[in-house]
Amino acid sequence: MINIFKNTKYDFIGKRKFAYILSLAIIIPGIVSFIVKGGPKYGIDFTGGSLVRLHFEQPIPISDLRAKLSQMGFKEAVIQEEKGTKYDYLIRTYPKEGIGNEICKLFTPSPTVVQEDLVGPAISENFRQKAIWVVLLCWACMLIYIWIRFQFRWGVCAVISIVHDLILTAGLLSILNKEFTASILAALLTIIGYSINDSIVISDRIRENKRLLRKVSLTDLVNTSVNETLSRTVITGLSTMFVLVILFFFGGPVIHDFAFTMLIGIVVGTYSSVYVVSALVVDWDLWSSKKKIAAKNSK
Amino acid sequence: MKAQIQAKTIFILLATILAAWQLSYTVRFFKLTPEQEENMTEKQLKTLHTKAIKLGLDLQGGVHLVLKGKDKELSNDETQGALGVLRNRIDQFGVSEPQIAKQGSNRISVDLPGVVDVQRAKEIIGKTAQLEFRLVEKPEFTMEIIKKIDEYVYKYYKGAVKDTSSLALKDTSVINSIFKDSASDSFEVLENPVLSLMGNGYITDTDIPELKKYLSTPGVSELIPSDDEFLWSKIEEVEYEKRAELLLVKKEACLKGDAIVDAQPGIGTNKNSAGARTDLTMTGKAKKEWARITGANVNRRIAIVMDEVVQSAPVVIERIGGGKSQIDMGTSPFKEAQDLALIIRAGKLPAPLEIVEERTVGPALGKDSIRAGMKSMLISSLVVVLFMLFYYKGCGLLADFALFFNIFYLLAILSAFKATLTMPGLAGIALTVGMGVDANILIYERIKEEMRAGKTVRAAIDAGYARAFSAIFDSNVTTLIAAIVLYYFGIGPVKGFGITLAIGVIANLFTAIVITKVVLDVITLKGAKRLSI
Repeated sequence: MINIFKNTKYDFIGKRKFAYILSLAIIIPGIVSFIVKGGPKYGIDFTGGSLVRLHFEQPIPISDLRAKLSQMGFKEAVIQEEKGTKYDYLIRTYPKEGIGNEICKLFTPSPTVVQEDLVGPAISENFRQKAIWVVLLCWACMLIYIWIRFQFRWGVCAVISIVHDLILTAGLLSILNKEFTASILAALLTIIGYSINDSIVISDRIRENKRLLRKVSLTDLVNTSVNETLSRTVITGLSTMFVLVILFFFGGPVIHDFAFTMLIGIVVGTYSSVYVVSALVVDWDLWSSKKKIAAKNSK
Repeated sequence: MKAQIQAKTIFILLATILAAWQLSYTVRFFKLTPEQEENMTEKQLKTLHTKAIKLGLDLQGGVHLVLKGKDKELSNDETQGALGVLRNRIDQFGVSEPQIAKQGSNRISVDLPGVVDVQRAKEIIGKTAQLEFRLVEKPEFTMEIIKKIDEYVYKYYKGAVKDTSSLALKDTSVINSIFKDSASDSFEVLENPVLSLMGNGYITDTDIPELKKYLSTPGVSELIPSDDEFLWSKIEEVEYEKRAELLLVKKEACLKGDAIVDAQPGIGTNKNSAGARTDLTMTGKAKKEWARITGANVNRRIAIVMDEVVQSAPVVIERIGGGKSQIDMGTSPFKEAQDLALIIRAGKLPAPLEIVEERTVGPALGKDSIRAGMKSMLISSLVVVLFMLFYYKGCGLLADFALFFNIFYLLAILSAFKATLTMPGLAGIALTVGMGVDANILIYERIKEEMRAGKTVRAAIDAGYARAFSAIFDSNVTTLIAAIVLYYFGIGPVKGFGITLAIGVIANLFTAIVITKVVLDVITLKGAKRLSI
């Protein structure tokens, strides 16, 4: 039997103030980055536009590509060399059909259009609305489910923790200047699932321990439960992260950012189930019992 | 206890056999060699194809388009009409397995898999439908021309026409390809190559490519009068035979589609009170013109042509003065009349379509994606498998075994639901691997705890499974919620991710809880003292 954590008694809850500070220390720069950059850097799924991936047989100077593009009337096109590929260039500009073919004609030997995406303004508007609904609906479903299976209080704290996870992850993406695309949205929703998953395992242990240890304070109860589930939390987190690291390195350009976002999310989600959900529940409990005592004293 | 294990074992076996059967189609389809493919009937091939897992456009390359009305939103009727027109056009384009569907209430999505000339596909889809009325040449005249062509083609392939320069042909590649064809196929031309294919004017669909080849023989175009051209009718099924008609029609239209105000199907014709008919109403302006045309061409046929395909070619019975015409559909079912009316209405639809979303994936990227997806799936599975083996020893092996079945069932369910496997879908599977072992980790950690508390192996196993269940169930349900929301709201490419994640979660509940428990029960039934965990 290998046991990485055997009968540990770390005082997780006692250090929650540090965790609150840590969370804020990452969230605030993220929010500042959002404000400075005027919101997330949306991909064409959400802004509308054209994205063309060109494959050249040999490297070409980006200035050359830019000159040809402005010749065609795409002065504001964003050009980017795709890292890790052999001479693939990404071009982003306003939505117009057939850009790829036109550019190809201007080069000899002519490059190939590997991928061309076009999202019109009507669709991207629709996607933006949908994205907001998806996230809200996800939150609502989680809140209701946890309310039914556990307690309203846990549900609220779990939803707060998801909001925390999303803001933190999205903030980090904004700081790192990553693009916000449909697959990033998918990653964020999966993170919601994973984070809740983690919170539930701990909550489930608390629910069980509550029946066994009636006289213990909530702080101790939470601490015991987090410690008891610690090895599972770490092992599952590790095995998921193995997969994501491999997807990140070998999954190809389409999956790259997805895996990256998920990686951040798994770390944040694991951390938040201990330090946000459990810690908030403990604080809520302390606060409401204080209020009860105050109410009694005033009588 | 024993009976329970037996029942569970039987259930697992049944599920596995079902899954294996479902997946066998996919395996056979992807292992098909060209020779085997040739030996199969079209029907067999089609069954195999529909039952195999489909690869998304991002994996096999292709183009996905979403269309909507250019200037205004399409009404429900208009969308339906446009759908029919697009189907008609894309069928002519000859892509294998195009998928054309309504998206929402007023958009149309078109998926063209495989290697596609995107530019041409878009041209075909984007142009406004052209409906025309064209005069058909008299049968005797048509026959005369066909006989001439028949003789010419026979001589040509026999090698009698040697001097190709006199044919004023510039494109020698056409000739080369024909000669190459004839050389490689050891192709031998029989007498009356063209006439023998045309049983009373109709050609069976399997003969159409051959006839098209003859008609494109260099020099044939010179035998056709300069103001005429050959057009094909759409393929129809009569008595289990698919056939089309070849018509010689005037190049110039005698009336354009904008002359039609309305087209409606109806029942009851002059000859047959139960026969199907299609009623056409012309505009005031076109009325006079139509009366002149029909008056001058009684007993001749007029072809209703859409996008260069003859939809119907009724015979003019009498001069039509009132602008209302009736097409007698003969013995065709009412549906034909409905279709014709729809096509005529749609053909004159003044709503040009616009592409609002387009995703083109070149075949090279598709291949790269498959390779990258497979590679990362294999490596990550290997890492997780080894990790579990290292950490949980014998029980780790069991969890790996469950993991294998998890993916096995996942793929089987995917193919049973006819879902397509996309790149995000592959990521979903990889993630299922990573997160799928969670259930077993929860159980094993619990068993360890129970054993540390002094329980026997048997009791620890039972307690471990029982106590870990609620956590596994609740946590999987929440992941499932996220996956379903993702699928339901499916934004562009992430739909595939949602569905694989959802199926993965469900399969995982079964493999990680039921299968591993049965195996552990069987092993420890006789009272094992130790557990390799």
